[in-house]
Amino acid sequence: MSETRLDFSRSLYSEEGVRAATQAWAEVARFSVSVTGDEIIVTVNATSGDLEALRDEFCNHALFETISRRQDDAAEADG
Amino acid sequence: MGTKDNTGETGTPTEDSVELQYDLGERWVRFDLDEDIYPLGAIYGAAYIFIDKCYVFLTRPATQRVGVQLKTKAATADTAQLEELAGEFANELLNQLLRIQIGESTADIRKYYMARAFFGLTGNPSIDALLMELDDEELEYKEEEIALPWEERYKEEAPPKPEGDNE
Repeated sequence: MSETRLDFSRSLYSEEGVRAATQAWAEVARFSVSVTGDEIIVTVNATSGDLEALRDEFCNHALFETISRRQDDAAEADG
Repeated sequence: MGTKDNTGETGTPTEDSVELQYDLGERWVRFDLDEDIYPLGAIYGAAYIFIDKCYVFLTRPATQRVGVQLKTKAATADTAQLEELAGEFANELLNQLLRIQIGESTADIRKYYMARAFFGLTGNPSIDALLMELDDEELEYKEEEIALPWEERYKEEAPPKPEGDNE
């Protein structure tokens, strides 16, 4: 089992978006999420596969979820 | 660390040279953006498009600064490919920035045309008059528009009783 840590700035990534990404990848790896004042810290434990590729794909997914939620919120605000 | 500038054909930097300063890695290119110049909405807009073609990671190196790292999905990438990736991202940033600015400057006119389309107004009322009319309409309600049970809304009147019926 291999492990890596990812730090996401809360000013750029939403906690909901990061957590949504962990749920999407739950079958591939185990994630633990903790939130500090400025950062969302994700620890990734993968039992198999390319950890680096998993890390990159997960980060993309977290960014995708963050941006999507932001767009949805903006659309609701516009009415 | 490298720079990319718009020098003239001779390669001599001009007074109007604009440099995108970036760092290069094995498969990645990284650069910082000033949020005063590129608002977060534009950065997100460009990032959203690029997550299909590469890995995008955003950081906060300092207040009002956004770090962007673009990493190729291919196993290898040379300097030219990474520089091209950074240049394309910069171009898309400008595109997104322009979209935001156009959206802000045309917000009122879009509301006007939507109002005309929905309410079928004729003539050429002013935008302010039209928006005021919309505001007034939103404050009104009509009793018949309040939800009523189906039976009550569509109940049929009872047929008149025939003459001579002594029930």
